[in-house]
Amino acid sequence: MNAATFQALWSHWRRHKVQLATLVMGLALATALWSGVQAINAEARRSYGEAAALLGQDQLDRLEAPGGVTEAQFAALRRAGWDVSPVVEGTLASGLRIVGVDPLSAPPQPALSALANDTEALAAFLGEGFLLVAPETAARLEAQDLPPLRPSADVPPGTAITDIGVALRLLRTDRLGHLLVARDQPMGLPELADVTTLRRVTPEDTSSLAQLTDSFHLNLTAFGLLSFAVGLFIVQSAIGLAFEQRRSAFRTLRALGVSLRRLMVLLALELGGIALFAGIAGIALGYAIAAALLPGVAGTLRGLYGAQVSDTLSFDPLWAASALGIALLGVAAAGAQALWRVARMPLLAPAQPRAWAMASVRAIRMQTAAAITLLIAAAALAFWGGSLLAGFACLAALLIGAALALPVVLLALLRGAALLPRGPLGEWLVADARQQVPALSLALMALLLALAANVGVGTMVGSFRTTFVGWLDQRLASELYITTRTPDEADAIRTYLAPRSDAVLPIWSVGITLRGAPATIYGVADDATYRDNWPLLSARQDAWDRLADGDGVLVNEQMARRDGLDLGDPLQLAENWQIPVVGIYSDYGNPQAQLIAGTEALAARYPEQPVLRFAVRIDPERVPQVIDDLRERFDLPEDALRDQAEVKALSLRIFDQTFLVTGALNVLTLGVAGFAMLTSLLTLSSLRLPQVAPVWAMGVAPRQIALAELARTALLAALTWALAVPVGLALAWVLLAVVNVQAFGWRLPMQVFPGGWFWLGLWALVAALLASVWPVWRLMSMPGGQLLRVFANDR
Amino acid sequence: MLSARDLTKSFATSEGPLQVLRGVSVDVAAGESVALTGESGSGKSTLLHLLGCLDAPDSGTILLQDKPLHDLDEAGRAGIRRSRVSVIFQQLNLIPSLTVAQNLGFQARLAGRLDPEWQEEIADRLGLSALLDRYPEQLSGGQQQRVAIGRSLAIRPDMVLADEPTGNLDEATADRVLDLLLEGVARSRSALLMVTHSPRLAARLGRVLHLQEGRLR
Repeated sequence: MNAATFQALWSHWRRHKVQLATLVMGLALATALWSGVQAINAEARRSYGEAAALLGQDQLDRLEAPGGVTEAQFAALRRAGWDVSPVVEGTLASGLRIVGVDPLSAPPQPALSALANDTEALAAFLGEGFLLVAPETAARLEAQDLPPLRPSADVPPGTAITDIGVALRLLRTDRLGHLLVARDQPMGLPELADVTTLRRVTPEDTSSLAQLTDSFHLNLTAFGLLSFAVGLFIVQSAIGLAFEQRRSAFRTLRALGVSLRRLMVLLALELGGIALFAGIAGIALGYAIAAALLPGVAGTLRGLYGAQVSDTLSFDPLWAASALGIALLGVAAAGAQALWRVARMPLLAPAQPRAWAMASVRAIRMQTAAAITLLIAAAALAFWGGSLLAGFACLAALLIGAALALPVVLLALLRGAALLPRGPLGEWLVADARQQVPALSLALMALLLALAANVGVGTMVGSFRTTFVGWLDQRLASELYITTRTPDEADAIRTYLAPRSDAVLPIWSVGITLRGAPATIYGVADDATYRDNWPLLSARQDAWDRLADGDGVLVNEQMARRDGLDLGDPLQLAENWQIPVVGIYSDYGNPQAQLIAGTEALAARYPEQPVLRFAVRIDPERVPQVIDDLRERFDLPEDALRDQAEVKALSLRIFDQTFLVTGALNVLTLGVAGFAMLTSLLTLSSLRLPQVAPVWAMGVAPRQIALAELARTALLAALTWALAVPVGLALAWVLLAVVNVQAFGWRLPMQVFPGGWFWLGLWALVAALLASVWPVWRLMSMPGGQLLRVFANDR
Repeated sequence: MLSARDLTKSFATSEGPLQVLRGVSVDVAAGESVALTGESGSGKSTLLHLLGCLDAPDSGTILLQDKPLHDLDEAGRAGIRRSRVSVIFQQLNLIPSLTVAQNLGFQARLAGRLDPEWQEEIADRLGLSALLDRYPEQLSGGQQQRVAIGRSLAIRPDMVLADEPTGNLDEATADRVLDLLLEGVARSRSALLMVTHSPRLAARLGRVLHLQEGRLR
């Protein structure tokens, strides 16, 4: 009985292959976009984990000082009996992260374990030296002028582990980065404070990459979820149609003795089977999408956070299983309503397909109420939410509320539009469009979400970019930036430049722990460069004078927001150093707290802190010449000298790279929405015969009907676009004023780009028209006889 | 007024071509009412569709007031349907998205021949005046057929072709609908050719033609 019943149910899909393909493709696309994003996130997190675990740095305390640790400081600690191991870290111009270690004192490490049992290899490591790198990194570095490479699967991608001597040579420095403190120390050691002035930092004090990048991955996840939701619209529409078309079959089966329970189980099994098949296709597609996007994401993370993420994707069975799970969940969510209807359908209910998805007045009312509730909830969350999670909940409520409101608003607009057209065809077009809204609403909702996401994210990125460019112009006012290796070299360069430039401004900083979190204090000289250019969001009128006198500090926006600081609030920076906030400045891209103090005030408290970096004010035309002179005279490495244009270009490149992935996901989501339109129009085209046939029979030429069909789709797409723009702007506002503030600690001024909306509208129109070409062609190429069948029962 | 000669029509089926009409000739004079009867599959609807320019014959000629219709292209046939002949089907005659008033005037407006007074009179005669703001789904079967009759008469066609217009209705309603149809064609001076299975209804028309296996008997 089961086999016969299942065969009867399945025969529907055999006869409606396009519908089956739609369902499978919709679900596969939804699964692919969601699981693709998850694969990227998992790969990145795996890389963070590897990087953090390197040399046990995620578990061991470290000793450090601004500007690095001297060999004398290291030797003093060893002499006192402390078990510490030196590490030097830095990045070469090629982007390769160099980690220099002393293999004899370093904590146990899988990458170094091979050396422990191989005296020849250990001698080579300590002697002429080689770099231990991941195989994929080795392939990338083959042609470069570096010490010999040895592949090791235990080294994170983009990183090279080498002897500390080799690392110091490659990084052209004589200072160690920090010292790792072994967990088990000998008994009877002197107090650390008596032996060294180095600062002890626990792993909890340092911001891990995983924490820093959390917001970025949350953004990706949100986009993946949006794409999944848009894909589910296709699935729900296909399942809804298939169930509606099988109402008579369900009734017949039940009349023939198939119990409701058996029918429901078989339908659930049928959907489960389709979900499994589509899920597997989605996994393959998701893997391909993730592999294509991963290099972009890796570039973004490298640029934004200095995180090294593998460019190649590894296959994780757990990921595949979770992707299948999400496909099954998606089908369960999309098919629940259809199954519920079957369960409630009386045995003797009329079997003719109702006007498919024709919303009743009650359903429209309920939908309106739900939309209003969600939009009110979104507003409440935006103004009183106060957390990142509330920010994302606000986004979800806004988008779902707007999607639910769409059919209601469209119906109202079309009711108004009915007064405008002249001529019977125009009237028919508007009236027909109104009747089609419920049937097309799922596809139109998908289109609204995709368009709103495009407007919203486009506005956010555009606002960010405009603000960022202006901010860079102000912040990077000096023409040349120099990083020196030693205090002596710094003094020599400063002396050399003094008569050859307008000003040599020190850039120096001290790392402190403030209110339990790491923070950096920068010392700035009293110079017009800062007074005229530094971007302050709010400040006392005499802020720069107070700064120069040591009577105040400036704090960055993220610190002010995080700690609730305002002008005049006192800050306890050190034991005997309390100072008021005199200004707040924007500091985009920095995840941590930062302060600016006067040079003298800072120097008085940290006299041993070397000044190794400088900003030089100079005629821009002389910059290349000065760079050449400095290189020749002081043998400075490639990355020690940066001119302003180069820094700006690099910053903008990083910025643009950051939003490359967002852009790609945006386009994919719009593509899925276009596909949703196509599938809805295709499935509707066969149901539209009763609407079209009378018009044709009354003498309207097929060409005119085809044009009317296209015009109707264009009208609905244009109206949806018009509604998506305000929704997108609301979305952008939430992203800029709520999510951004919660995630990064800064708020950006919102700017609008109407030119972008116009192009987006045009693309939406093109996508909708392309999606309707095939269904319209199919309808119009139908032989007249098929249209005539609509009218009679006896043929 | 309408003259068809030696009409043939076949349809392709999975078992080869099916000959539905095998040389049918028929004449209908202006103002005349003719019933077309026959068993299911005898070719009644096919003949009606050819005369109503909904389909083209394989061979034969059709003249409407001496104007040949049989060799018109789709656009030409659409023009005839719009303004010269009107077809009433057994079901789904109306445009679901338009109100009764809009449906009544739709074809007349397409033909550029809207006469509000005539339309009002039709609505009144057909008892539709109180239903003008309703949508087709809110009407009974009989009411829907009255709207279809009104719409077809609104253009004052040369000829009304009705394909079992009362096939879905009970006897009493069918009688009432036929009364209105006959009264309407008389007032608009149109000819009527009606396909029906009912000998009782056929007897109420001026002449009866019987179609059997694609030929008139």
